Amino acid sequence: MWFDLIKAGVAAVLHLFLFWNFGSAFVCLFSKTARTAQERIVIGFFLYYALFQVVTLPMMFAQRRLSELAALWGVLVVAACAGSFYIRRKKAGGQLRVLGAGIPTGVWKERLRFWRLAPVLIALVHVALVSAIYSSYWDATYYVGNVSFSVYTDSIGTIDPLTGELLSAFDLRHCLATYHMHDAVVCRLLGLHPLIETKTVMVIVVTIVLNLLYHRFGRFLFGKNDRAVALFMGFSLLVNVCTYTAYTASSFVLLRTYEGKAVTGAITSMFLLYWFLQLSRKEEAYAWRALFVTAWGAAAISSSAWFLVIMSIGVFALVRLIASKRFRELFWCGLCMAPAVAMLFGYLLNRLGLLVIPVRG
Amino acid sequence: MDISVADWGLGFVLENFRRFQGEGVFFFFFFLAVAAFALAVKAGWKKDFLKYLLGLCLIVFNPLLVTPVVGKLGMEDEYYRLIWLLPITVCIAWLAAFLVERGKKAWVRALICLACMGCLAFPGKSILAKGLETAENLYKVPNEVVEISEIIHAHSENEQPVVVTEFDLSVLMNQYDPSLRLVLSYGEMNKLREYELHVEEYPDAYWVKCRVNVMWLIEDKRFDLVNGYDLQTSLDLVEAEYVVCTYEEAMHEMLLANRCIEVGQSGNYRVYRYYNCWEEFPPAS
Repeated sequence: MWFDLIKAGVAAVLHLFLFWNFGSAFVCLFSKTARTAQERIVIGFFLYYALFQVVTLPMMFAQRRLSELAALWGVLVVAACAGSFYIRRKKAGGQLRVLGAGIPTGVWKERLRFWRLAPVLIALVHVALVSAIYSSYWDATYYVGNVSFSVYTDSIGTIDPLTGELLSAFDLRHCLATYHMHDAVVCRLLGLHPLIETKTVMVIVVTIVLNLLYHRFGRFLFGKNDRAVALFMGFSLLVNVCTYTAYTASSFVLLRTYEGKAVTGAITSMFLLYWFLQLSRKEEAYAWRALFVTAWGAAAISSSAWFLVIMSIGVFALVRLIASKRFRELFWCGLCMAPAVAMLFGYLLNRLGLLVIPVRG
Repeated sequence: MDISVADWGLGFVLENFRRFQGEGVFFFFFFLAVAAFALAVKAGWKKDFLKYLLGLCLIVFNPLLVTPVVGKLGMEDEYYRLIWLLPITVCIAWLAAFLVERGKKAWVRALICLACMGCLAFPGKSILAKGLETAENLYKVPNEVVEISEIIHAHSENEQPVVVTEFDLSVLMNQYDPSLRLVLSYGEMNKLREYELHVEEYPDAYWVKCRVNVMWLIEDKRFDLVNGYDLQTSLDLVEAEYVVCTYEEAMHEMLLANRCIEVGQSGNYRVYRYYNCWEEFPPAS
């Protein structure tokens, strides 16, 4: 058990490290200003899953093995991290500070003040709460079962997790969102049990990403007021704990964090709003690109996000059009929605029987 | 979700909010937060935020627009997820932090903080009041699931033994150990519940009937409907090797009388090896 615990810890840290790498590369390529680590990790989270979808879908429909996908993705991720390091080093003029080296002592003292550390404590409480809770929902039979069967049979989305039998055709509603296939890839690469990856590692990772987003929002709303930011995060946790019904976003965040819907309800909707608000500030081009990555990544994570992304960006586009009369922005909004629209369209065609991708026995 | 446009008409949107967004008082706090935000915050992006909220109310949550569209698209069961677009948590948290920061002295801020926490905790439906269980292991399944899987694999010569078990347990075993072939899987149970009242109507009625028998006995404990002969023929047909169920004396006696041997137990569950009609019973070893 201790060995599994250590592996789980390493896996969680690895996830966040990869998100940070992907996010940092994105920021270096497209942003003219420095961006916080919180923003890098969250944008990296969406970018990571968007790119994973691009690699996974062709392999899934070609019915390649999960082990092949895992090997390919492992190589691509290493290459991407190396590329990220190179881009960041080049942007930093050949000098890259590693893990805070070279920061003066006074700055460290500033960073270790109570109200600067309080958000970390709040996030840890949140992580401890979700890690300790046992909850059993029938939905997990599908989502977690999908990961378990994929790992067990070395296949990508060809087994019906409700019956354990081979599907006759791909279920596009679920397989276009490749979030859970990534869990299967991680299990394959790190030798983790699917339940540990989905119900322990990803629960911790998603909770940390959510808290990073709360912190970013707190900074956006309260600026340099550390106490207000910490209070904001604390009250966010309290609201989540106290607004429980089976279907609120809070319920998914606390009890069903392993599902893509938890990301959709809590992280996606907030991060889309964050970019909407950023569009009226400086660096509009960067914000549009970030909005595109967020919308695409969200659609790659959960099919529930397709309609949510379309409605959210659609409403925003209409509001901007009425306010600014800039028709060019309709085009950018359309582009941001495009991945979600494409996936929703694919699903509708599948439902009408016009797009059926059979599974070879 | 049992909320349809046909039943609720223009009240469809409100009913979704009522059922799926928790206590109404949090909506009141949300509106309060938006009002406070509109009055107190001076930021360039404030107008964009308020316009976005207004746009959501006029388009996404407008019953006149939503009711015909959602009904036609058949999205009644998924509509409630659009409520997640409203930044309720963020707005309420902002309002609480904003109010605390208005206090000039530390004791005033502490008092306001406690008042805000009380306002959120008391009217709210807390997840902690639900009576949460803590996880017993890293897999987040009961220890019985892990132990039962180990018992079966230690005893079985098959890599993929066929197991009959109760629905609640099979749902978890499905996730923990996919090598166990479950007779009453999630998908199977859903189908059987549809079949059980009209089993004669299906062309493979005997096959279905046997599975329904297994479900009636193992899941529903219907000893009045299923006798020993029915049990054996049903378990033979589904090629069951192991039966796992919560201990009950009547069930225990019935299984032992019908080619089953107890091979292990975990918590309240007993694991039985079932010997098909073509296997030697009792076994030589």
